[in-house]
Amino acid sequence: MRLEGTLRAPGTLSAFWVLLGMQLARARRSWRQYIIVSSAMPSGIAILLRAMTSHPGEALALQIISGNVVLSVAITAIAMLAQQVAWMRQNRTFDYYHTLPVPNFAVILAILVAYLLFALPGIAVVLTVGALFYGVHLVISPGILPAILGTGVALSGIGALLGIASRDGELAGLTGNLVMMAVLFLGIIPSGRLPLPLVALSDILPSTYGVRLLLHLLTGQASPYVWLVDGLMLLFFSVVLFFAVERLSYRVG
Amino acid sequence: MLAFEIRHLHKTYGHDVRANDGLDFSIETGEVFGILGPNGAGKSTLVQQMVGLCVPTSGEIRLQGQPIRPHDRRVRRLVGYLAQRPLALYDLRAREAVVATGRLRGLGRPEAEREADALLREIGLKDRQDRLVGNLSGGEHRLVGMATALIGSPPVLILDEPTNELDPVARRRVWDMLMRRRSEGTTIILVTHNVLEAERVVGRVAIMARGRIVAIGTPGELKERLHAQVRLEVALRDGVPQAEDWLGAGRQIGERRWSLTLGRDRLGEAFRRLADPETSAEIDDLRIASPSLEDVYLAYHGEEEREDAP
Ligand SMILES: Nc1ncnc2c1ncn2[C@@H]1O[C@H](COP(=O)(O)OP(=O)(O)O)[C@@H](O)[C@H]1O
Ligand SMILES: [Mg+2]
Repeated sequence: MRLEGTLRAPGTLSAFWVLLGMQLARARRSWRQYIIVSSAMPSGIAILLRAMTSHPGEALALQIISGNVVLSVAITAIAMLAQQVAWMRQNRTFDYYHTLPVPNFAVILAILVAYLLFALPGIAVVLTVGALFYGVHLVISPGILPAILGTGVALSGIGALLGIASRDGELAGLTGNLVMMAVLFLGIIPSGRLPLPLVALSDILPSTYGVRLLLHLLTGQASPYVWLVDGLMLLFFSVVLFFAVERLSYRVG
Repeated sequence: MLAFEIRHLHKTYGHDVRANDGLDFSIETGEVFGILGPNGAGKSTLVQQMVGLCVPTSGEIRLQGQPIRPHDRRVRRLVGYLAQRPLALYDLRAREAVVATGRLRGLGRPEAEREADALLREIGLKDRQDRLVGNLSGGEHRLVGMATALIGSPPVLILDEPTNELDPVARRRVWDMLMRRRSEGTTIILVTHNVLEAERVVGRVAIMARGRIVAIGTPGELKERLHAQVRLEVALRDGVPQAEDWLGAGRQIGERRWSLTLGRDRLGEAFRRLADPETSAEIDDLRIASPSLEDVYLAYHGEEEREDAP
């Protein structure tokens, strides 16, 4: 008679580390592909745009570099994660986690953080390529880390929601790519040059705030005001999207 | 004490798929309870509700007297669950998957590693523990799932077809493991098709068909209901044409092996036929036995099918 037996459960933090390790195991076989996928397109676009403009001013250069850094995040956090989550739902991975004594938010956080980490090498490549080809001096400050973290969590929230809403991995991949395109266009084109409906769209995309914050950080001009506006917006999107994913992945039939 | 109480349980998918159609039974702490039944009978639906992965349309499930809710925290701490679908952790090595699951049940790393090693040895996977789960064969994959259900020694196990896809050696190992857990007092609820093997392990069984329980009791009690019957197993010699006239009424269980379940009143007639020199020359082997759990299962299954007929 041992029903009272072991009523154990891990602490939230140690559960998170275990869950993160389980997610990162994906990269063991495919880290090379992850680096290539998350850096090739943004670096390529940065180089292409440099080749097409004879004398890009520093402002444009920084816009292009920041936009492509965020694109690099979007590739793993939206396109790849949407497919992964759709696949996890299809093969019932969430059921496995939901029968273990771990909080669902630790499960979701581990997934989002893992896909953010997968983007880091790509970000480093894009920054290097940008600095080399545009000949601009980039200020690398510690503030970049929370800016990328906020952008990453918000964008992977979008990716995970697409995965949850899609019938299968293929559909999730397609919609993920579509949203990624939006992030790309709206991130690189300065909002002053956008037609009005697209300005509205860019206002509701968290990547817009990520690009703006990054732009200020890379020029060393991130004032408390910038942090207050763009930083808070990123925080807001991260929290809202995170809990939406947490709730929706937890529904039962 | 009662482990599970299931009251007036109904589960309908969509408008008309009545997967569970009024289930009422309970399971004692320390009991090994088998759930048998044909495909689509509603067995997986039942156990998914017992672990909180799926919500009853109406009715109630209690664990230790308390109703369970979706994703119930008590259930997650008390129950080790093996789903019918294969474990999804494709990117982990077998041992990593078992260790990680142990840690997610609250074991420290050294403890989880020690338990995982013992389990992998017990289940016969020690030599394949460093393969990726995604590269394992169906049966090996199932065994890793079994080890993840057992790590941390949860006091209740709910196993949906644990011996599916396993070779005879692995099947035997799994049944032995369950016997050991039973003697330690673990409550075990298992869905299975291996009726003959389950008979060794289960204390009580429920036979399900079309969302209902058609029979419930100990294997002995269920067999008692067929007590007026005797099972005759006949194997014919090579090259002998099938004795259609009387073996045709039975069930073919091998290439030339037949099983006949006869009322005791018809036994005399059967023996006269067997004693006939012409017939006995055709017979290679003959066995008389009391009905097995499988016969009980097939008897109920047969009844259900006849009810289905127009
Ligand atoms: N998620 C679902 N949606 C719709 N129908 C389902 C679902 N799951 C199971 N069913 C149906 O419910 C019935 C019982 O299924 P299940 O519980 O899996 O049976 P068993 O495990 O006994 O083979 C079947 O007819 C099956 O097709
Ligand atoms: Mg089933």
